[in-house]
Amino acid sequence: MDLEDRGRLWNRAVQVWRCLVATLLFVVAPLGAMAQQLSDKFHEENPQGLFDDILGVADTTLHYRLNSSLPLFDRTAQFGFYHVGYSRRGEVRTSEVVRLGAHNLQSPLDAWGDYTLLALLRRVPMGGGNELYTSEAIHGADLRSEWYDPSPARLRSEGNLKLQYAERNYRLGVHYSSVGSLCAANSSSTDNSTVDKYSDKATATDSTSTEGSCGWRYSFAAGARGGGDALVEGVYRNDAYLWLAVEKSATAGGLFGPMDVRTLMAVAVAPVERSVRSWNTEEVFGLAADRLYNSSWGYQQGRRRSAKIRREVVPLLYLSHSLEDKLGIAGANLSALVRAGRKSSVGLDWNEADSPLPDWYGYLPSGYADPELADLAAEVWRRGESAYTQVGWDRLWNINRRSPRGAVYAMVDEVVDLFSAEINLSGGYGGRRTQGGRTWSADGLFGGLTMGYHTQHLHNQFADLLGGEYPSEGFRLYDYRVEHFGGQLYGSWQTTGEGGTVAVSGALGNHTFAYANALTGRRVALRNLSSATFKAAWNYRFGVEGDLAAALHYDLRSPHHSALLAAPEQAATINPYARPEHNLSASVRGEWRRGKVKGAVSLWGALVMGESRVEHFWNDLDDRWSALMAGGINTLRYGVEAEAGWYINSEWRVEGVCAIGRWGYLRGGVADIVDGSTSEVLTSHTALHLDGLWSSDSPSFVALLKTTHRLPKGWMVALEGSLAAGRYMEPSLFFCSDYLLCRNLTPEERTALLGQESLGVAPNLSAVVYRRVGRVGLSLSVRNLLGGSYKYGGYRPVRLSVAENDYSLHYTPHPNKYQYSLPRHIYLTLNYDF
Amino acid sequence: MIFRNNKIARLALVLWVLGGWLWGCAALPEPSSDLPTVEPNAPLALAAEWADRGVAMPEGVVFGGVVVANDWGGNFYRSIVVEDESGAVEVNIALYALHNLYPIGARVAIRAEGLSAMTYEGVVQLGRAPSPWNDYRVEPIGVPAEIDRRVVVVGNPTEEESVEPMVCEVGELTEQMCGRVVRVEGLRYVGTDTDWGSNAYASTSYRLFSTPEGDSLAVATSRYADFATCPLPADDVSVSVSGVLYRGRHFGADMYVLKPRTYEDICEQQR
Repeated sequence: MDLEDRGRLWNRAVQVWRCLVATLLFVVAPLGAMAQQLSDKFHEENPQGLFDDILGVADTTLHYRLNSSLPLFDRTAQFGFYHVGYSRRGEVRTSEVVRLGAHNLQSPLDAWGDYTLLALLRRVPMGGGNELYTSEAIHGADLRSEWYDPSPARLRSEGNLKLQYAERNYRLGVHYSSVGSLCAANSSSTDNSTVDKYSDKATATDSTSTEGSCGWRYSFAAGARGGGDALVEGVYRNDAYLWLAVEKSATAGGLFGPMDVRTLMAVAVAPVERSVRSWNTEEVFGLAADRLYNSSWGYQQGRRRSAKIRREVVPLLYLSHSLEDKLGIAGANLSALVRAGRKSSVGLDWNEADSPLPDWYGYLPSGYADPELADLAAEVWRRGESAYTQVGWDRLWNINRRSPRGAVYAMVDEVVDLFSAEINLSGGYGGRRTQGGRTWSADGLFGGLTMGYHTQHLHNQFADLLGGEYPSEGFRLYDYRVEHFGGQLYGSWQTTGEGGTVAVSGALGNHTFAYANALTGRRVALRNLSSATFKAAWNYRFGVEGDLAAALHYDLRSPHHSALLAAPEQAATINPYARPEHNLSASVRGEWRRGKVKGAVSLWGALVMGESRVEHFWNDLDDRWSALMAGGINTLRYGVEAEAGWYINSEWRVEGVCAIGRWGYLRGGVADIVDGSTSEVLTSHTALHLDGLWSSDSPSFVALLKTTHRLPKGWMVALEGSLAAGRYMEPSLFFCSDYLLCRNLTPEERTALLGQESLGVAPNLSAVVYRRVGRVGLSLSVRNLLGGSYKYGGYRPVRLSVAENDYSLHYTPHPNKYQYSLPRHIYLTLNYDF
Repeated sequence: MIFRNNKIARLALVLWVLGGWLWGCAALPEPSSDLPTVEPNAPLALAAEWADRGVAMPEGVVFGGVVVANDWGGNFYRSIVVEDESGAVEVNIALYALHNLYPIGARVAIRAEGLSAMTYEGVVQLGRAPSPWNDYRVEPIGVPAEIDRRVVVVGNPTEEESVEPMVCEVGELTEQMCGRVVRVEGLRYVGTDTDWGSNAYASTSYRLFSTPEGDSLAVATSRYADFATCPLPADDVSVSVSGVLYRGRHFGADMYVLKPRTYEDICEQQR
């Protein structure tokens, strides 16, 4: 089967899948409505997310810091997703993970299916509704950690249909779930109203899992959502999920008395399709007279078509068998997770042709030296000729049709076929303690072993030849496979005494990588990589009035495996500077509660030593694709964070957080720059001058104030204000390399290459009003009340203009690209629960 | 229950489901393959008449012709050559991959209103008015929208309309033929260079060839041409060269110049 056939087959599969999504979207809702009479509903009065408690995180400090990268004692015997919305300051890396029991799924930033499954199962509002999104405005401001358990014991029967109108578009979402017993005599569903599924109370033991004389229960959930982006043209998403779990609960005798025995089997799939918004320069935003301009779409025969689409279908199978004594003193769990599926990224590619993208710098007024042409180019934007200010699909089709060499423009699908199998065995012994409303392990020993095999087949194929014949040459194709086999041994110990609670945990891992390139026949031998983690935490509780906690975390990480794939076409080059990376972080936190006021202060610091990175870019110095492979980069991050909350009464609360920090490079390290396709070394051991630069676009200052007020007759209002400042763009490694800086540069050129642009101050004020009447909920959310337009994010394109002038070469970096925040806008959401 | 007693609700449900299917399963429509209709109303010879007058082409003038040369092969830079029965013009266009827009053999219509024509090395060139600091050549037509409006493909290349060079002796070449694609056979290289286009000091290299009759002819090769570094034929090897005909002063004399489009335009014949 050649690439074209594979592409066609995949397209066919996508088409079928889209039909299924549409079916789910439009069929599940009515089915759910018809099933209304069969279900006994519980209607939560609070809209999810409205009362997200910023300070709730404080309760979990010790627990979180100890266990964020290890399976949790409390949770391995259960099933759930663990999600940390954003890394807490001081954590060495982002902690965004979706976890299924003891198994890590992927970062939601990489795996949208996982995120969708998580988001839809817990019914996150569809990008709006009755939830406030400060994190949308500020990187790093989301401090929540969340836990959700959709096992049969916890999921409840419900259905939800959501219609949302925003200023430019609409969204439509459907969620339906059902829970019941497989025993005919006990067919009524069960709702567990005592479980707060949005909190961190993973150890709540009030499940009703023993319902039914046979002990068998099932849970089913399905949902879909789709629609265009509320505010950015040309962006859409099309998600669905399906969840089915069967659980058998029983009681058996054990060493410590009667034991709960739970066997769970679950299958889930969350196909996701979404189109991606572009980043653009100030010039383009100005030409389009729209700071939300998106260049990644255009009209094909009058219908919108995106040029950047991400798709993901990775079904999973989860099996778990656990034993736990009735008192929660001891437990053991054996679980397995198998995943297989495809992630793909479809985008426009071209061969020996002019760029099809309307915002290519050569088409912009600044790209023309001739002022007359620059005026002409600006005029096209002023007239808004969509064939030239968006992707001109019809034009591309016509060019392809007349091309004697076959298609020169094509939609190319970069595919990752993945398979992963993991098995985990864990067990522990310990007491439990209930304090401050939550239960946790107070003393005990816990450990386990995880073994896994993962393989990825990475290749590209034509998704659409846009009317052209199969091209005879030119497009860059790749086809390679990466295999990874590894295991991790982990354990933790915790004790509570007069001096507080002390906990230590650690893990040792070993992994082997193998690499095979189907096009070149090359294989890279197995490579052994090791990792180790050590954490220690201490928590002292002053009665109910306060806490003092300290944590130390050391993490030895293997070189990221992207280093291995520095030159995927050839697989000949492995980052020579990739070494194990040392991460050390420490934090101290004090927290007090007095009456209706609660506060906390944290000091934190994190040192990362020996980080390795790879940067792929078009190298304008040598006119070829290149890879910069760096190692030995050191960064230091530190800061202070204060939080406070005033719980005026049960209906009204005010909370705030303020954080000041510094993320900086200590040492730039060294790098090799190699040709991207031949692996020819263009320079070796070139120094990187990163020292003194900011190392993250996270704000160095964040302030956030939020108040929620519950009014009579089902009304609720909330107001949230925030301010982020001190945000800097991540530097380009290439621009900071001696390979470029050692040339004959003027001081201005040097400053332009090494300078870091500030993204400015980002204030935000949002409000929401919510009312629920019976099964219907209505919310009006107004975001960015101040109406300000500020840079939400930005990056430096690693491109240079090299011009000869006065008999010498001059180097000017291409302008930075940004995405702007959304202006003042509304979301009007109508919910109907059935 | 709303669906049990309400016909309108049931109808809405059916429509909803059907609508979902249609919405989810509908494929994007393919763009029409019909080409625009633009009728030429003037022969290309008219461009030669207007050349070098320093005034823009009059309103309503539309030339028509077949593309005989483009930048595929790298020897032409930002230009295509179009010819009809009456003559040929080189159209200067500010894009880099014109071979995709205007493949050889495609029929084009050129809306020439407001454009300028100038003669450069014997060939009429069409473009925007020359700039004051570069007043011997027209400026290229720019920005994609304007290019698409000015130079419109009205017929795709077909097998039947393949572009065949006119075979001539050097002595048969005339200045009126400049801009057309011709082939001259029996040429032998005269000189000491080793390849067709390497040149550290200029973007175009000229190689001198002679015929057995003693006539001379230059072959022009850009240093960016795909075949720039290909070896020249030995002095005892005869070659035939096809290319667009120019006339200029090279090697101390006025002579005709052939500019091959690709390496396939150069064929070794015999030793």
